[in-house]
Amino acid sequence: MHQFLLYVGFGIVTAAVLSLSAVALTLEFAVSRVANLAHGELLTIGAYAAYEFLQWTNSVALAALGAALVGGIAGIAMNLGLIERFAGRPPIITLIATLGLSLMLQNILIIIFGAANLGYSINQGSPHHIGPFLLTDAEILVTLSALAVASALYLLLQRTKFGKALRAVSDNRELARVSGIPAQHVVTATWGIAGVIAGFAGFVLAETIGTFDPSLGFSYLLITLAAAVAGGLGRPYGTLVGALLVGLVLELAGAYSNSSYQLAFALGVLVLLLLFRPNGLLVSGRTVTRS
Amino acid sequence: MSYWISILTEACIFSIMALGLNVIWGWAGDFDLALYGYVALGVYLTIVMTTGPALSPTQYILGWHLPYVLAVLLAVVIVLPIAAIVGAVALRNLREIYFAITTLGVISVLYVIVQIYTPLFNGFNGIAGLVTPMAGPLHISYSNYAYFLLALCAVVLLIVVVVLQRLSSSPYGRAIRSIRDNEQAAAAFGRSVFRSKLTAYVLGAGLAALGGTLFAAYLGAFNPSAWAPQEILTLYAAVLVGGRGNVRGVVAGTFIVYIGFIELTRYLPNVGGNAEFGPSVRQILIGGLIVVMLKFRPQGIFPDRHGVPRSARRTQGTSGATGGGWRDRLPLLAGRASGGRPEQDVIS
Repeated sequence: MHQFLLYVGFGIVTAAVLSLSAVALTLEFAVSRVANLAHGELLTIGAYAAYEFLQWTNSVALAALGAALVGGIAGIAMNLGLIERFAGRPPIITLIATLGLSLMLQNILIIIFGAANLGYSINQGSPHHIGPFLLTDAEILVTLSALAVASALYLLLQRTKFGKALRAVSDNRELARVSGIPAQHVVTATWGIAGVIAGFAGFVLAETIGTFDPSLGFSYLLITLAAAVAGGLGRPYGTLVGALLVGLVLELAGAYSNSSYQLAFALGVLVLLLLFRPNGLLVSGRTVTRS
Repeated sequence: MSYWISILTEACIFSIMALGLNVIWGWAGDFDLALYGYVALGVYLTIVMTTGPALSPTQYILGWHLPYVLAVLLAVVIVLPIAAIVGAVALRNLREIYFAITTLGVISVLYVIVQIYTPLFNGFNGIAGLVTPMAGPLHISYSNYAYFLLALCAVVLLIVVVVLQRLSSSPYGRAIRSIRDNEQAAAAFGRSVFRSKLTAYVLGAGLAALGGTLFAAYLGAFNPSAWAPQEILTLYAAVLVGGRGNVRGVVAGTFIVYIGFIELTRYLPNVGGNAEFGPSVRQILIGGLIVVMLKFRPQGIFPDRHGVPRSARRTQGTSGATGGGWRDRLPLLAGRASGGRPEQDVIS
């Protein structure tokens, strides 16, 4: 039991990292109705930005900030440069285009930074016992930052005018537009927010794993998709629950089998969810899923 | 000279794989990301069934000494039920992005398992040892082998093209396109959507595996770095350029993309001593080509005109609700013919 709870602790940390990535993906889907397969590259860009900022300033806080900032710019650029240009086309066409973009970005990163593994030299801190869990300073910080992001997002969505506009645009962009909401600006801003979260997630992910290379984000894409689908694509709160579920499944499955097969479990969860709960765990009913 | 022989051989092999993709995506309209996994299984199975038992520390399954032709047949036959299982799960309820996500998951997991579980295909180091198959029994000298392989691949490609063209204008070919264009309407007319789509999926995967078995003869060795999940994008680029659904167009597209890109990036210098530079530029170009084609000419250079009644073809550019690019009777002049920009085709 003790051992089990330890793994639950690690699962929560995994879920925290995952929730950042998945919430960003789901925000992108909410306003643009496209599953962004180049989402992983936002994380990778964030990870490399953090690396550069860390080399430059030697400050972890500034590295995190740099990752978020560059991620936000990349998110806006991705939306304006690609997604918006495919507006009105079938989602599947945009989906293929994002996969092409993903291939381009990965290889641009290879040309700039090389394909070799990089790592941050950040002190992990010593492990502490917190209740039944055993976590390092870094892991605690990661979990707290994910909670902070989730709370900030909640306040943004529920308590601000912008949040209201975002929800309206997500529901029906045309209707929002004719109601006087500057839908275009809302979409752009949402991609900026998603990029900020994704860039930060990339930094946190690379930091938790230890090393990273230009395929960091793409390898993480499937797990992110699993969490986002578990919560229901385009539903930010559901996605948090989905991330917690997938994070726990990953850590527990990894703990009681070979951890290399985590991805296989992620797929298992994903396929089961798609077959039985295609609209997310929190929505009842089994419908044929079309986008 | 031998350089061109090998480029043409590869182009023939990739054409067969691209035709497999064309059946699944061009005809049935399913955005499959797992296809390159069937190619990889074809390559691996051919090698393990022809090169004999594994010598330590190498390990892999089977380790038979079958003749190459028999191994080719068996490899394809083994891949078919695997694809049928994947297709049966993925196609039952899932469409579009959910289908794409599921197939991305399938190939990602296959990729991880092949890398990590070494008893299967020797993990990350891969397997080798298939040297000039069929050369012995047919008494082909080593110096002539490249020509023989090119001829073999070209003949197989020709057979595949002929069969697919017949299939394309058969009732099945028309049915599967009608399902692609409007699933509900096709179902209302009595088409079995699931069965037709599954048939296309298994057929496409079989062609991919067939391409893989020829690829095995060409490469002789294989490891996971040769089939990252993104490799499929080259095939998508080829189908997109050629004209989705059009059999001969897809072959032309593969030759254009494949030879064009190899030639374009062949003389690139290694900037900053970065050995990845050339291949990376090629990948960037392929990604860019996909985006540009989707944006400006989703119907490809040689649009597919099958399955559209003659009367509909004449009403060029009047209403844009159906798919397929049939409006463009003169492909490159289509925009001018209808008096302006070509309408964006709806492909889904």
